[in-house]
Amino acid sequence: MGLKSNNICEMGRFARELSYWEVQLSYHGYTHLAGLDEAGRGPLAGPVVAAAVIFPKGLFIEGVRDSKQLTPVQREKLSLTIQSQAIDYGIGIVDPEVIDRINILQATRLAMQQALLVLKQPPDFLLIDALNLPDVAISQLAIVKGDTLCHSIAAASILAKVTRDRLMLEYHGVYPQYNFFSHKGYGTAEHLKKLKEFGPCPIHRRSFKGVKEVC
Amino acid sequence: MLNQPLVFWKKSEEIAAQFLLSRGYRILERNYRTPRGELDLIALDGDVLVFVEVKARRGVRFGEPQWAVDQRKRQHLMKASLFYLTRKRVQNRCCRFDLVVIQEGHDGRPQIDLIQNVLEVENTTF
Repeated sequence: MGLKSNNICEMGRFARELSYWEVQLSYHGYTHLAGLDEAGRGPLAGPVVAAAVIFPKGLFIEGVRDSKQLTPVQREKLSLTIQSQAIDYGIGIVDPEVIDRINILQATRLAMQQALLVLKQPPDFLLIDALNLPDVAISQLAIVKGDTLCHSIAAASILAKVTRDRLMLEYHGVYPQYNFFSHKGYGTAEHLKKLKEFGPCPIHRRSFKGVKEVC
Repeated sequence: MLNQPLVFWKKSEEIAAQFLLSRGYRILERNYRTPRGELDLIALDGDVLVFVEVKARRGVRFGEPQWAVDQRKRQHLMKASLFYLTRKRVQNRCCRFDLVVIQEGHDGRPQIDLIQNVLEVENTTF
């Protein structure tokens, strides 16, 4: 798989379709489009991570697509390319304690807002995956399954996923008994078994079904 | 006899609207016109703003209904919906694109299919 980035004029059909929202919005006069996506809404343990990415106009990075369709190695490689090619990117991380306090939806929004705050220059339009940010006074478009439809959102999903996976790897070093290395905190059969055996650790989301029962 | 297809087409939008209402959608606009073309139906499914494309066809000889949304149609849907979103200053809404396919069955009664999220980009050409 080539990792080179191309100009928008000379790319294939898939790339054109994935960049369609960006192109249309640039016709509407927006210059700083940020793609926003989150990783880790579902798992029983670990933080929720959001990423915001702003690309220069007309840039398409080959290979970028929904992070769930990529292998971990591909994601790692692409995340490096995205970070080097993007005008700006930001990551927001919200801890399990906060998730338990304000619920996962609000925590996801908080993570996205944090990711936006990290940006050096505020974007003028937000493309978000299936979620809106009512507290942010920037024009925005939330698209269901946006990570499969839109290049910036897909790139953000890759950054968020890679960051979260790295964090879970570190947590694996701290709490090795749960084997976070393999399931990244998701509620797999193995994870549920370990959870029953050892009880919850500080990074488990105690408000989640599956963890609540063993607290 | 001459205008029968038109009648069927007109009726199909009505059938689609009724069908969506029965599914719990709230219809906001019918045949909304923008300079980028017409949006057949705009509805609310819970909190999600749904742009609905209605396809009426007779018989299955033109292949599977999902094929009806080709690249041009996809671009039209995106352009027109963006126009609607900016004109109405829609904020804090999540968007989705659905397809309603109405086919005339053998017994003359319409057969209705709802396909959610038709815009998914396929990467088969990748």
